[in-house]
Amino acid sequence: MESSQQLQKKSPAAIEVRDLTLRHGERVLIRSLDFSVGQGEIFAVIGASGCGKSTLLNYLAGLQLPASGEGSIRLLGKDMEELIAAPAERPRTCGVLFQTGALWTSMTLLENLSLPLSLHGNFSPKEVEEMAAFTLALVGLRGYEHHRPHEISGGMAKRAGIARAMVLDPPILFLDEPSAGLDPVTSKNLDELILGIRRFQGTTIVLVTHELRSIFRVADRAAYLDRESNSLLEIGPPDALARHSLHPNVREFFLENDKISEKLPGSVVVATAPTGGGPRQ
Amino acid sequence: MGYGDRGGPEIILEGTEQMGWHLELCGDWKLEGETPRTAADWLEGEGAVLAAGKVLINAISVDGWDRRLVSFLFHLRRLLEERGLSVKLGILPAHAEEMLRLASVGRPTAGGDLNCPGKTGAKAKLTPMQNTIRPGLAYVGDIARGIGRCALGRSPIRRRDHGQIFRQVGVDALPIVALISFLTGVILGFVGVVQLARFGAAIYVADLVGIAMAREMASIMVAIILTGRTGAAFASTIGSMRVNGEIDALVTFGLSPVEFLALPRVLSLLFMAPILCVFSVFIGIGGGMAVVVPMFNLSAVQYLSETISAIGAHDFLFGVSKGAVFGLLIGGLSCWFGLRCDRSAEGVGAATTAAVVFGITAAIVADAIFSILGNLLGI
Repeated sequence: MESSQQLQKKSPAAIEVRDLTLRHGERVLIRSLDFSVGQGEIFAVIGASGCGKSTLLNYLAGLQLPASGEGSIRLLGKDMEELIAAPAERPRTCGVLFQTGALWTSMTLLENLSLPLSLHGNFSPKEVEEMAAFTLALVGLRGYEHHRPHEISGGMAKRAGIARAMVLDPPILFLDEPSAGLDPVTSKNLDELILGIRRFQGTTIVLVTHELRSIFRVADRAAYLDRESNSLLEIGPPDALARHSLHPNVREFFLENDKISEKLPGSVVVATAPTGGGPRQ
Repeated sequence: MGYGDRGGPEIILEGTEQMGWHLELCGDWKLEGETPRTAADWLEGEGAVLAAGKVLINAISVDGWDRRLVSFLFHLRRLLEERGLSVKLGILPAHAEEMLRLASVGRPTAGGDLNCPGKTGAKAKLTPMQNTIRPGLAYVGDIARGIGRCALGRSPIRRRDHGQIFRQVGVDALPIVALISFLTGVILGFVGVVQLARFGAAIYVADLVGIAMAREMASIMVAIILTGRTGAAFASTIGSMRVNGEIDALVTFGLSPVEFLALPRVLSLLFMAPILCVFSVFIGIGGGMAVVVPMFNLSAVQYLSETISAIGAHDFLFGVSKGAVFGLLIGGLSCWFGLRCDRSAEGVGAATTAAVVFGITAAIVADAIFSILGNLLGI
């Protein structure tokens, strides 16, 4: 497999965010947000609760549009407004896993996956069913096709949410807190699934998470959104951020997580040495 | 300048605008102590002179303190800063400063200030045009476009979903519609009997019940039942979907929530309400018959033939077309409130209440308009 850096050098950015102002209602959460994510890259958005991580995902998924003059978002070179105006193209560009899973509760898992397939593909009903069942099997939910969302566990719901997000093979996936509220084993399995999706399909993945272990396991780069300065403080490989960040808030984020990790035998230990220049990109 | 009796919370204010102000908090600042005034009250009274300059606040001489003191300082500092004064905290009791710092963590920083500070939220700032009228018109347009797409056979709605909703709205409502309509017929029958029997015209109760059911009562009873039963269910279902993020998920798959969720529900009410009205008319007539026939030894055939002779086709069509309009209004409003529900449990409750209140009101208003138009046009 090619590394994400190699992929980035060869192809244009999958996601380009330019001078974006993130708002929650009238409140400004982040100003002048500027970053790009390469194709096939796994990019983590981190920061304290309420800093605007999920809001950023809403913007990237086109659920919220930047106000006039407040920046732009391009997915695979296409402007977000252009994508929203083409409802058939949008789900083929990006898939979203919502924080709660947001599975359609009136449908079975199979129907949750079949609906996008039947609406956006030229498949026969039998093919739709087969593809939906295969995608569920891919995320380890074989045998649960006819269960409804309330009949499965939280981890399964997250898996089903990921399966639905990727059912149309979009080149970009947005995952909001995929491992929140899950036990460490399920969380690890989910991380492996995320890596598998990238490995098999070359999918660009943006994930919002607080889980330091997940960040180190899957992310090529991470961006720290800061609630106090309302800005993106730093972008870089998670290891570099943990070891070399000059920003106290970034250091504190990794340090607090590290304190918990240290108490666990055999856990990921992040060396935090707040010295030297961080590779701000 | 002081405030409070000896022993209670006390504030000593000294200084001038040019020299700077000094505030000394003394006395007992515990929750169980004497009830103090709020920081806002104090600033409107003794503190009114604090209009500009610098303020130094000390609380070194307090006899006792707890969260009350910190809460007072927190609000006092905020209000003074809002007035444009520069506030500096001097010596505070141990830990009070720390509590104050913790409470201030969530304060919006200079870069993240609300654009509309204070109590104005996003919705409050929007004009009624932006908040309701424009989205309302867009919603009506989306429904109309969806109906057009349905007519052309290009709707994304699955037939099975349609069937399910039609069954919920129509077939499942039959028992309650039957009960209410029968009892309405019974009530009308009794009311008519009491008056008309005096003149030996009991047979005309059939006319009264028949015309009343066909023109008015069936459609209005069905409207009330559909609002309370179906409209409320629509608003709460769609509202819950909004809270769970299911509607966002639809949007990410390029599906219009209006077309996918509201349209089948509006259509089901549009088509099922008139059918329920027809059903209600027959059951209501049966209710009237159940009262009059045994009381006056009339035969069922006599009663029914009198009813048939009294009700014209126009009465029937008038009532049924009202049912269709009521269905459209109830369906449209309940889905509208569901789609605009706030993302909270309280929001779902509010959306459901609004759907019921506005649904019944809209049906009654429309009924009044129908009555006036019917009278003017001689229908």
